Amino acid sequence: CSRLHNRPTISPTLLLPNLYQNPALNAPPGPDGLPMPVDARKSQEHFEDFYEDIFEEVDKFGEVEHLNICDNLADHMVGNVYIKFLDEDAAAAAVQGLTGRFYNGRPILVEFSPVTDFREATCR
Amino acid sequence: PPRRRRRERKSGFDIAPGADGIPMAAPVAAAAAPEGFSNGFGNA
Repeated sequence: CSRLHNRPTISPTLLLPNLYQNPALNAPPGPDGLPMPVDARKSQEHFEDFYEDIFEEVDKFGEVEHLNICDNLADHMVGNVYIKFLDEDAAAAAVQGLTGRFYNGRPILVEFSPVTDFREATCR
Repeated sequence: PPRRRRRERKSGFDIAPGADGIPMAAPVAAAAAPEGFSNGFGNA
């Protein structure tokens, strides 16, 4: 993948890049210098809290069809949040409503995404 | 399965850098992009 992804000017899908902070990435280093392991249950709760926060916020802008949050550690998509609304108007309202805001001290970046079918959303 | 009950906690939305003991976020990459180069977020 060249990673030169096309950025549409309008789409029902939004991308909030790098918003989810996987606890494994922020774990303090142990005596061996490697990150300390993160408790699986706490990690799951952390993810669910984030998912809940995002869903409740974006649901205000229109009906959400899909909400996908990348909790893997792949560099180019770590923490990416994809939100697909039923229609483009809701997505446009969400862009306006989220731009310039913060989540847990991090600025929220928001852009339209060309992804419309997550089953086919792989780079080739 | 039944939906789990929402925990009593504050949403992370609208917590600015420095609030609630949260460290200042790193500067957004856009600020450091050299003139004429894309920073990857659509700003030239």
